[in-house]
Amino acid sequence: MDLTTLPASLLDDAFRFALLLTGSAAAAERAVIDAIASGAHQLEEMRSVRRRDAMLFSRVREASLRAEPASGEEAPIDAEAAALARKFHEIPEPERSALALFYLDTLEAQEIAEFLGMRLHDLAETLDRGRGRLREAQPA
Amino acid sequence: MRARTAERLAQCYRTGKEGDSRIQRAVRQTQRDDTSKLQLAEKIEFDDRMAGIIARVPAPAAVRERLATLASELPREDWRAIFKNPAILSAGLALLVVLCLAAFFSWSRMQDFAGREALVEMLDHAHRTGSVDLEFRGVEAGSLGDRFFLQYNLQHYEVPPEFAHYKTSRAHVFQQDGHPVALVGIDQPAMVIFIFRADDFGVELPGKDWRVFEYDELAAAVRREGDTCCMVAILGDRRDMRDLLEEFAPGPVD
Repeated sequence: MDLTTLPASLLDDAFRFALLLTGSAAAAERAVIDAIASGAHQLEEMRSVRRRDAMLFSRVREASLRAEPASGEEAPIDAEAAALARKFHEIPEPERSALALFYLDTLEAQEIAEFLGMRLHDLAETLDRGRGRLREAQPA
Repeated sequence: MRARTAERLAQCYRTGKEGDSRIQRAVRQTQRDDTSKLQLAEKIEFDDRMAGIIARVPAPAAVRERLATLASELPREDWRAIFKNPAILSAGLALLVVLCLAAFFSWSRMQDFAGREALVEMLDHAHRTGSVDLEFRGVEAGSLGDRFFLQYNLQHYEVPPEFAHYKTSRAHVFQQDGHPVALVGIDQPAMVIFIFRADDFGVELPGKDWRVFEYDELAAAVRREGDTCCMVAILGDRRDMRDLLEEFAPGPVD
């Protein structure tokens, strides 16, 4: 599977995931590039689309969670999305990752649960807690 | 599905996503109650709003450019060359054989226990009799203990408490190798419960955990309580059974 054939929607979701985890567009950009660079061989070798997507998200998550706080000028993105990302960044793990993946379009709920190493019931509780945190920071 | 479980699983529902059957069932059940329905609608509205905001952000051009650069820079043969090395290939194959053997013995250990053959025979019996034998139909499963005692003089033939409130679709007692076995059919959720004396069939189960095994298209879980054993069977595999036990009879599963 050639890297250049990765769907644009997958790249978009990978970036959105990183954005919600890091809280910053600049840090998210670095995290996605790091994730693709460090896992380029494996991504190319993957035959299963599901596994490839899960692997990319796993790499993005690792890179995002160890990303340094952003400094300097931020890349321009939608203001409301940037504010949401900053609020997301205040949510603890694993609620942050669970909710971020849930709001993207790539993985099913059961796949998110497997991705985070939890049961579907635990994912439901994790999402509920994450949503509560986000509501506190995101008044209607 | 219990209301609390349904409300919890409905947290995993997303607009436009089919999700798995448990989530679909949970959503249907949640929508039957006005308060829960309203809470679910609020959750969906909140989720849609958050997902809508984040969906406005595309990956920056720098990411796509870096991807294109990486793709052209990758030394494509190196990765395959590692596996073409005979030493690495042999070691890999040997490791694969060891892992397969370990998986096979582990699977065999989970499948086997003393008395398993008798339980398989019971599952065959349930399959043969279908739903024509309707001795105790439409009663609460938990009430059958008294009926089995009064009608057949069978003591301690009790349906486990976690399944006691379901209505039976059929129930009867049959003889297997000269020993009585109580069979209780339940439609919602679809399952068959067998109750029998462990010693009658030489069933030996260490501990009080559910022991899950598969037979044909069925998954069964058996547990010993004192002198008697209870076996629950459903159409499906080991994973379906674990989900069912997790939902209805939480506790350790072997």
